[in-house]
Amino acid sequence: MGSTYKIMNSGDVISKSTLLHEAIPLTGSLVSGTYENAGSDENVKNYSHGMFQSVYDYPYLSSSANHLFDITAGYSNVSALSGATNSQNAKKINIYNQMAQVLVGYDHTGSILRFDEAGEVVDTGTKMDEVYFLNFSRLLVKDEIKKGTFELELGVANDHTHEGNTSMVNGHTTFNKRVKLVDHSGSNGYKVNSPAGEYGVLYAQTTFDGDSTLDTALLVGERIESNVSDNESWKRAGLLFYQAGVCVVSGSIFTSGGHATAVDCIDTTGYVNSNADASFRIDISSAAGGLGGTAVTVLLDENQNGGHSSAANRITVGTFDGSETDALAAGYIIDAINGVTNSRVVYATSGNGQSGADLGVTAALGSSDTQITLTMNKAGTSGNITSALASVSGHDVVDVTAFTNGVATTNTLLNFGEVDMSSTETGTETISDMLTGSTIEASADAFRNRIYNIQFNNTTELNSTIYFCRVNHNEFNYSTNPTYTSASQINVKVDAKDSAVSYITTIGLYNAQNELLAVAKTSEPLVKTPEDELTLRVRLDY
Amino acid sequence: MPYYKFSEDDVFYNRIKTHPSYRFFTWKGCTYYNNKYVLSGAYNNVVGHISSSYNNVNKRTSFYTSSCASGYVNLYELNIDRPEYLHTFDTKDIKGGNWSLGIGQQTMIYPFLTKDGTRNSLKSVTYDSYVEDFSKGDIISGSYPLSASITRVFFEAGDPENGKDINPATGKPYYRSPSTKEQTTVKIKDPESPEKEKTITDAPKLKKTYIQALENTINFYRKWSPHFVYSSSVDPITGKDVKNGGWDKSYQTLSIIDVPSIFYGSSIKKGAVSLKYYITGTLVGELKDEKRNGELIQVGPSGSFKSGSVAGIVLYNEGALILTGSWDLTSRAAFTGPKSQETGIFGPSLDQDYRYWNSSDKPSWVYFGTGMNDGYPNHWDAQVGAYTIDNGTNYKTLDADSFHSSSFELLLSGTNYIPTITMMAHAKKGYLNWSNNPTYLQFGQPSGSATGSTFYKESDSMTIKNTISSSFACGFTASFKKQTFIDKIGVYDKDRNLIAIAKVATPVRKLETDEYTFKLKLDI
Repeated sequence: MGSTYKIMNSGDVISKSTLLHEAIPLTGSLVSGTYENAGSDENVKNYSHGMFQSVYDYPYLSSSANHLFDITAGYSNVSALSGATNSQNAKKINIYNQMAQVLVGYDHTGSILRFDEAGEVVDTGTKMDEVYFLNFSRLLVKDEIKKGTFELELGVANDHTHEGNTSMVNGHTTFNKRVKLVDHSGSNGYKVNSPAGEYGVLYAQTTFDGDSTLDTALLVGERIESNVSDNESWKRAGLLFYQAGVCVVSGSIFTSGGHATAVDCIDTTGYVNSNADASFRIDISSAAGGLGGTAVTVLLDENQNGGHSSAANRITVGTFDGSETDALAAGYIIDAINGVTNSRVVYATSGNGQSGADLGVTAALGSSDTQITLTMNKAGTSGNITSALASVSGHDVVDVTAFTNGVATTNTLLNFGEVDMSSTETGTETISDMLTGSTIEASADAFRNRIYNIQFNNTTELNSTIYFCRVNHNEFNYSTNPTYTSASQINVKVDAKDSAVSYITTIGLYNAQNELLAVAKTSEPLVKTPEDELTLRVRLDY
Repeated sequence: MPYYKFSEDDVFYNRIKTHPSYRFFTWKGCTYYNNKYVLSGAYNNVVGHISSSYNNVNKRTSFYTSSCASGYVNLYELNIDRPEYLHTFDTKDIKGGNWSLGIGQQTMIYPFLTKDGTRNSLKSVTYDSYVEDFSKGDIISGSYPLSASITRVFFEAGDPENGKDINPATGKPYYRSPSTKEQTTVKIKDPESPEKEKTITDAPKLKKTYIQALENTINFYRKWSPHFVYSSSVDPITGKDVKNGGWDKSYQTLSIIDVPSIFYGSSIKKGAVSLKYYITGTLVGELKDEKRNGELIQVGPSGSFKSGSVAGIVLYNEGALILTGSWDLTSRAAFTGPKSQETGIFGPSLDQDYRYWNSSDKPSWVYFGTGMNDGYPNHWDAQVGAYTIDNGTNYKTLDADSFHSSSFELLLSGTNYIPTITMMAHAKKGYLNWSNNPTYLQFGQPSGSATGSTFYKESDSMTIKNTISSSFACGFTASFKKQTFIDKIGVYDKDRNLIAIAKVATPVRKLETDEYTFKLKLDI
């Protein structure tokens, strides 16, 4: 019990905070597959109200299970998908509105704002009207998700089944094509215009294209080569609310615009028998993803298996009629259009059609080995060009001149076709079909089975106040301990000239009314004599 | 929305005292907490509490697995069933906070912080390690789960150290080599003549740190009972000289059962401690602190040997039970009950191997809780189909009857305090009779607001909707009264930050003549 009190000055008390983090990995197998029993995941809880689905880290009937996150889906009432005949239409709109009013807020008229892919909530930016929500448990999020650490990797191949199921649809398992959503802007690019706290934009990037070399972009306009800027490699695909612990994933991550095609547009049948050169031109505008400017002419140079030459804006394909066929000629043309190195192909010396140039189309064999189908590399209606192909000279190899069936790319991200969200391996159900024709529970199932990995770090802010308790040389050298004195004399002094000494074991912190609030103890008693000055650092965490 | 200030008489600070009860049941080296059974997971044999060791080939036949970890509590209950063997990520690779240097896969949740100027660290990191092993910006990490369990430490008379370790080479208890320890002289009972004393001059120096550390604490409570005397040359109960080495807890056979505070809170509740000793399922002894002074008194079963004797003490505030009773609980020497009940009351007279290896002991209180995380082998091996001990190279099957006929039950209640704030929110007569809710006004009337370059003016003659229900049907309206419905109460701090909301189960109707006081209670 202290009998001497010292007043703390302002310089003796400082407050600090420490950020404690936890790394939270949630592998895809944890949220689907590990606890699967008789076709259902025992760690996934569905409710009779059907408005969301809860995912646990262990069969949820066990008291040991922890809630990880909830999944739900919804769309706004202005979404093109909204329709009175949809399954759970009102609930999906309500889910969207409920989340939007909490996370985005209202405009000046009191209307609920919609999610914006760039966070420009009051602007006329691109809105996300069809979204998935992942509401993470407070157990995992703690105070907030650490900015710049969030990763959500999704399988976007055309199969609903989870990894480990070798059943294939269209030659792919679910995770044979993957994109990763990251709050790439991190700690210096987050937004603060949400009533639910800070949030960041989730950007998507291809992480696995089906083979060991990452050379095929899965997202529209994405470039995945090295040394490309962020703007070219990352595509906006959602929002992450750090304090609220809510991840909003745009449905666009599962959708694709249609690529215009010219089916069986080139047919080399009869070319060899013609015994003459033939040529045709390809004219793809830059708006459609082509080179623009002068059309590229492809010349089939008859009786040339070497030594043939090219010219400006012309790709020359050497053919040798003595032993070759129309099918071989078609193969050479495919290589020429796709930019593949082939000794029979000589690229343009200048202008369009030079080696390495992207013509904006991809060639593949069509209905027969002499027919070629061309597909626009860029999805969308801009690829619907009516006179992209034309025969120039010789045998006419061009059967179809127009590209058709390009579909608008608004709010779509994938560039290889729609993802099949169906739970059956034989059915086909796009994300639009899913959100309109299926329940929220089914939509959540489809999304959950496409989660390859989730990981983030959380943050807990630990506040500390540090009290510097300064003991001057002439203070605290005596004790009120009964054993300190004996017969009215200080016990520790053998001689009157001996210095006083005490042992500091405890520091009490008192309020203004001298009420003891906190006690700090030293690990061992500290000797205190008039020759010593001490500063004891007392830290109070709360 | 009006604000009212709580007066001094409106706020009360209280403390709720709770007594949660706990039950630990130990059998075959497994301790079960509150009847919680062991779950098996996809990646671990034990779920929810402690992740067991395993390999990545077959979790069931893994090396050194434990199937009986239900006596633990797991802080946060994180990582309950995760593939630890796949976690290859090491934060030591991260230097200067550059996470891109990290390699490997993360499958486990773990805490970490970045070393900075605040000098904060995780408790598992020593100060020396904090200073020497980490630079500014490095990651200091820990691991989950953090667990706590009830444990037992057994001390045998003459044993120099805490408990007793198994020699992995022989499978028998160590007797530490005198050459490597400080020598000292101790007096113990002569094993050959228990009534005599024997002096051992080459015994290692006493290092029973657990019991020795409690000397002052035990002596502090001697005001409650003489059984709390740690050492004495005379029997503190009878005042007579003590033979055979004296009354000294440093040397006598005893066991400590340590209960972590997470189980009991501030202290163990007095009078709520009960220990039951079973042999082949038959109760042979029961201890209770029925005097509430820390003495553990044998209270049953009826007529049992040494009934009424003190077999140990409880340190309520420290969460420790110290058991010293060494009499044979199955002894019939002093059985006083009817002859017909002699058999069956105390169970079979069954010798058990309570002291780790090939001992033949009668059940007594010092052996209570054998297998309670005390180092006694408790590892179930599914491959062998038996409880085994790991000797470092292979498995060794224990005698199935080693001590498995004994089971132990420990019941206790904790004392936990919950501080609460009680606030009285008053809705006085004539107050809170207006709502800003748009439906409070008559629908359809013009807003009457006017704006100019320098002003905004609302109408001062809006009509309030009369919501008083008429007693008459068909268009008869009741006389107008101001009526509001209170559905929530907000609590604000002095800066008018909303810090708490109290909601009522159903909206409370308030007329101008009504007066209410809402009692708000907040646990903190």
